[in-house]
Amino acid sequence: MIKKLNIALPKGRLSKDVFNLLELAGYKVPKIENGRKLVIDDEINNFSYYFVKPTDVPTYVDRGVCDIGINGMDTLIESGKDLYELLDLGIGRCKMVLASTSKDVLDKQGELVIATKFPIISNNYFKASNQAVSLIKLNGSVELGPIVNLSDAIIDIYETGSTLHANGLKVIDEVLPISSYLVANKASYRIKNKEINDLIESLNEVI
Amino acid sequence: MTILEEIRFVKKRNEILNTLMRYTEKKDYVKVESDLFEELFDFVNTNQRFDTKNFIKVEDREGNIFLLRPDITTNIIKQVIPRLNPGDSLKMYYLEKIYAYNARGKMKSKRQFGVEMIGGKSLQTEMELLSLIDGILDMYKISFYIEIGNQLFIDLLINKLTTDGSIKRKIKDALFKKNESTITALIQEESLYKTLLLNVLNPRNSITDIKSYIIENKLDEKLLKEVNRVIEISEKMNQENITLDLSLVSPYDYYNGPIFKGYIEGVSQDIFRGGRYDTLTENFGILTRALGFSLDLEPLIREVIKHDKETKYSTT
Repeated sequence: MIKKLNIALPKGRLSKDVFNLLELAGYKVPKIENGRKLVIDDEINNFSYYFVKPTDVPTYVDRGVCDIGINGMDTLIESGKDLYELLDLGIGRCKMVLASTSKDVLDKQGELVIATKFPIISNNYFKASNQAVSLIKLNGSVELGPIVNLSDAIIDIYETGSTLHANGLKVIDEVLPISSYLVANKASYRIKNKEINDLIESLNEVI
Repeated sequence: MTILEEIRFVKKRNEILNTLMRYTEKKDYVKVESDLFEELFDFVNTNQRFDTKNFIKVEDREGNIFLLRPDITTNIIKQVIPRLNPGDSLKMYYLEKIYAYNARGKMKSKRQFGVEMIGGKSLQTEMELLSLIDGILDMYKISFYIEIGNQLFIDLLINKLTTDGSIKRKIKDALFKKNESTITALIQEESLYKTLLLNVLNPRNSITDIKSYIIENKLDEKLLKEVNRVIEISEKMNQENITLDLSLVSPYDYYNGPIFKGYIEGVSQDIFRGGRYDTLTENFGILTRALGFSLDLEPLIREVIKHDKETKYSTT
């Protein structure tokens, strides 16, 4: 018997790429009526799609509400959830960078102050170095940090680089390459193994 | 939950735990208790992939750091092995709490039931342990799925790929997440062993495919031996709920043989896990055969209560 798959999809800027990829793989996501419905059933493939905030995808999958989800590696690492990272989908590619107004920021004596939306990734990046670091968690407009002397540098997502350049920041180092993954709940992966692997196989053919 | 509801729940929980203890004691297991504290450095030396920030630390008057036990196996083995005579066999069980910080940084305890078997013959003890788990869950009419791997197989294979300890840990972490892209990036040099590891990770390859690949390419026979151990267990068990997954990795590095994890429908995490850990005993004085498992009690109790309610409903 084919088991039903509950799939968490991220709302927002990644959703168009996700829909396109699923359609290419032969799984057309049914249209969302007036964009307000949060759960949509695909009776042909026996899927239910849950449209959630990207940062909430790991939680839905971790708690088993959804069996699988699609999520950027940045939010996945920051969530700290223990999920299988089954397939790099090759969408939402960008990188996490260390940037500052000064190219010599890493030579600074004493504590380096970093503003970021990604404290876990930032901690991991500095773990191996002997640099004393203090992190300031911000929720947006991180580029402002070095300009107003809130921080010496920032760790943030770099896509086109236009925001960094517009604010006079230079990339000092690449911290982490980012892309979106198909993630799975570990119990679901065992119990719905065939259904999940069939979907992965179809996606693998188009990425 | 009102206090009366909670008392009813506690009463039911105690009934379940008593049944569990009686069942295990009938199978000749003796109840043991473990220390509440675990020396931080002992634990870290045995389990190097753990981030100790998730464990609850306490300090004694001399400034030594201890953990509130995050795991029971190491704790029991540390007590038992130094007093063991060669050839002794022991069958122990425990009903204890383990402690750690949850994702939101709150101190949490988890009630666990577990079994440790010291001595005995290799395949025979594995079968006995898996039959015990089967018997326990069957007693409560709970169906489960079990996946079996072999941590020694993974360790041997990773040793073929790199000598760098930090890369070894990263490969294991990536395997733990079944992240093929990271593994491919970590192992830059192409080799038959790299292909073997990627084949192991590919769910479309059966264990027979893996075995054939090792034989056809004349790879290290130790790998073949470990694959055969897993096949033998599966053939002896002969149950449909078993999946063989050689990419399975435990977060605990002390396992050095077949390992397993179990799931039940409606529970989002594994409900039991365990395996063979002979080399851990050597760290405490004597190298002897040893294996065990732990079972999370809260989800088990919830399932039993749910099942009872469903049964009552269907009969009225």
